[in-house]
Amino acid sequence: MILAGQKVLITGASRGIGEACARRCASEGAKVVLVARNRERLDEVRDSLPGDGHIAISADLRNPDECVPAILKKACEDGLKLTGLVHAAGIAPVVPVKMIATAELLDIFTVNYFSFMLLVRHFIRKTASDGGSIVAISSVAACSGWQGLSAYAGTKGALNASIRSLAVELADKGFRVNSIMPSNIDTDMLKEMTSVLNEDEIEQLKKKQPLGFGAPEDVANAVAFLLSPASKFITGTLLPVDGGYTAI
Amino acid sequence: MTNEKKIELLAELFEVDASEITPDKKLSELQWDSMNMLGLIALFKSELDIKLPAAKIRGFSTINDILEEMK
Repeated sequence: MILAGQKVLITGASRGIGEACARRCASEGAKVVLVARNRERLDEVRDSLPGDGHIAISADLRNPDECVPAILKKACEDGLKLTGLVHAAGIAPVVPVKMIATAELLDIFTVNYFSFMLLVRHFIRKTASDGGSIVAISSVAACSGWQGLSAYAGTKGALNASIRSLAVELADKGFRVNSIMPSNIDTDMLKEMTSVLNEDEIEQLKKKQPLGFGAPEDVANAVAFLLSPASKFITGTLLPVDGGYTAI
Repeated sequence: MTNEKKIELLAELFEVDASEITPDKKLSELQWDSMNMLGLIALFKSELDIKLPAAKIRGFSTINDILEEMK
């Protein structure tokens, strides 16, 4: 088990990529701290994980100043420090720029980016960890253009840019910082994003990825690797897990 | 929200003059494509705090169908 003895905090853990990460980490021997808004779903996921000692924390990352310190405090109440942090929480509203509003920009940046920075800030404190691996779920939207996703892409571009500086800043403190850039992954988020597309349009979308739409587990596999000792020489990396999307 | 404001927002969405946004205007005569459908969802959310399901939008055929949902 590649994550034996580890304890990983995962945001967005109640569904999609976050849930898949929680399941993979638990199956690889890690204790998992699951964070998401939906309490009921969170408890369901936690109770279905292999192993024991998993913790579920219901929190809304729209108010990171208040909730992030509380999340990290609760995560370590069992006396065990964290060794990994995965930020899989995110929102992806498809909004043509002609309709964008500041309130919406603040919302998406708060969940997707500001909360990540606050999580890192509190994760690296001695009360929470003694070094470890940080993984942000970014997106290929950060480096390729998609209609209606300029705001979302902005948040992922911000994540990508910060990853490199964080990796440099935290290396001598024993932290590695990387991001994973998925393309279209078969999740509820993708269903919401493509809700107004017809079958032909969805087929066109699928053709952008030589390997078709990915599964959440495909991303979780890469997350587990980046959390594991096997990736000990990898930091500051933006890893596409995209079915060949960026190869075209 | 005033009727005038609703018309103004829809004119912005469809990138036409407000005078073209009349209740009986067919959406097929405007640029009723997936981007504008998503723009409409965003408009309802930010201006009216209403979550507009995609299934409902696909049933719209005139401006009046949209105006009815804006009440």
